[in-house]
Amino acid sequence: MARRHAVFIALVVAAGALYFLWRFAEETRERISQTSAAPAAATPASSQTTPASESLYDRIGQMLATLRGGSKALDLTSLRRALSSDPAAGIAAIRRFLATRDDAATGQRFAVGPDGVLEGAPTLRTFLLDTLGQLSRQTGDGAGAEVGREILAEKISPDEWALALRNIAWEDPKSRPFLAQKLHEMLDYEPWTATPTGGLLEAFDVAVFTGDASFVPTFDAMGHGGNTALQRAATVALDRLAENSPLTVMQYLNSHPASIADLPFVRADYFSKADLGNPEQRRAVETYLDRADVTLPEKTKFLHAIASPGSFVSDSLLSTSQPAGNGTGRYPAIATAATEWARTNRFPAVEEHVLWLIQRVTVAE
Amino acid sequence: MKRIFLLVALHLALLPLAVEARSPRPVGLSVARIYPYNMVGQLTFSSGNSYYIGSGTVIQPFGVLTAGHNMYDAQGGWSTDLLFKRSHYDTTELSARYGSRIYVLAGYQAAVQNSGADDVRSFARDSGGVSFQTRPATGGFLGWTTDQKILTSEAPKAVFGYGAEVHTGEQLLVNGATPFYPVYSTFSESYGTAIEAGMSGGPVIATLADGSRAVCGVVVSGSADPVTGGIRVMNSTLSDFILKYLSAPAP
Repeated sequence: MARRHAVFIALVVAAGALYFLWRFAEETRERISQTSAAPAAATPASSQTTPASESLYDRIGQMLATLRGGSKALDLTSLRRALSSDPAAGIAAIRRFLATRDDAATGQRFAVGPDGVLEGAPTLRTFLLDTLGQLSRQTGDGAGAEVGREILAEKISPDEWALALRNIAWEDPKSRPFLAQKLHEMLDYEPWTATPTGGLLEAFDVAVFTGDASFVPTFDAMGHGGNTALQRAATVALDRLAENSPLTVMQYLNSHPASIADLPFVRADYFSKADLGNPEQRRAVETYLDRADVTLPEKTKFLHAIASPGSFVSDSLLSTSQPAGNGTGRYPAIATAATEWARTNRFPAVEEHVLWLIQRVTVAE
Repeated sequence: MKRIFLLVALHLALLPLAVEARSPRPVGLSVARIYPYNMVGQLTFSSGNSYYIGSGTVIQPFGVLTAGHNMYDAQGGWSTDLLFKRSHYDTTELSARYGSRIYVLAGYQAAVQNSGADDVRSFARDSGGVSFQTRPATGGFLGWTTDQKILTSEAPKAVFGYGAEVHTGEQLLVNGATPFYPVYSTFSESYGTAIEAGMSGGPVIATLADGSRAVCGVVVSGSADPVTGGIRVMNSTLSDFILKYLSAPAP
């Protein structure tokens, strides 16, 4: 009797244990999906667990626990150093962690430093994506771009999208059309643009990197919108786009006369980035100065602005601001073009300013 | 006699000062011509359909540091015809140079124009520079410090610039400053320190412990009620900007 009783108890305990294990697995699955910040990144065959990657994975886990515990004493620099000490293991550990979808806030704001590397990452995942991009770029592993494409498959976090775009650009030189398409998708996504994050604003730099003129009307519209953060980013992005891809932007503006027409002095600035030593750019400028719809004050602004063009400068995800030069640069080409304009009386309505320009760029101070 | 008085006034301005509101005063020609004050200059420029007067400091052999709002305006775009007259006083100056490149220190999360002309966020980011193809001070320049304790302490300091509101904009003005208190990010203000329009972009010059002078801020705003002077504080970001964009001839 006692033996039968014991068997019964054992069966009940076993059933209970099985039920508990089943529930635990279910709850774990639920918990993972609830705390996910972005789609899981599949661990590739080349990133199999090694003792080194296991150890680094544990360190990431410790950081997660620290952040969830509300600790302010973050040592992300030390974690980055550890991950960088063995790049292959670091990449494997990061990919494995990203696949868990776990995340925690760091309390930092999204801040870009020199060479497009983050100086501040708002979450552990953005910190890891930033590190992954650097390690992958360093090793030529391709993991940064691969994970980036997985992140861009779903709209979970604009900050992660910004880093995904950067990581792809770093590793895949032919990705410009894809990056332009994904940035448009990002900028069209109202839930993100309604309350733009730092990452979303910094992602505007992807447009400068792609040199894609399709962003001119997008930024023009944003510049007239009601969201000041978007206005600000669009103003800087459009100016930098014109600076980095002058011909593309000038040709777009010449073929779309209504574009930026309500800000004539600002539009003149976009033409002032031209290199008049480049025949195509010079032709674009001459087309602009020939246009009947462009007012004399705007043309005058251009002729004065080209002598001292302006730049917004800062650290950016991808583009580099124009550095200081050696002083020999643009003036000889400007002098050649302007002198020819004056000699042939090419633009009589602004002749006085053409002459001013010649004097400005040829007379030694 | 007047000139001597103003010279004395300048030296007093570099000492700890009383808290009552003070107005900027001309430094006098002789002071305008001696180092470090001869590194300050009048900056005239065109924006939109108008001409303006601002101020700047030779901060590197080929570059002048000024306020960002002297360089860019949302409607007018980039300023043009930027003429820097170093040590300008009445009708004379030590040199006059047109800028060849202009810069505003601003990225996608920060630009000078869209937070509004009276917004502290704009002031905090309000810095820019002009670079030249030839040196405006034959290689001389005024150094800077990022030691912000100088601003908040009683260390002697004064603001300089070409005020064109009460004065003509043709003389270098000085006003001693009480300690600056942080308002927002890199924007600080000093109670009782009056600033005139036209002084924007001028330097806050402090006397360091070793007796040398250095720029520790850039004048960016002024308020009449209460009387306050606002500056963009020199920090490592601004320091990096100066070294990267204003140290070599304009491209």
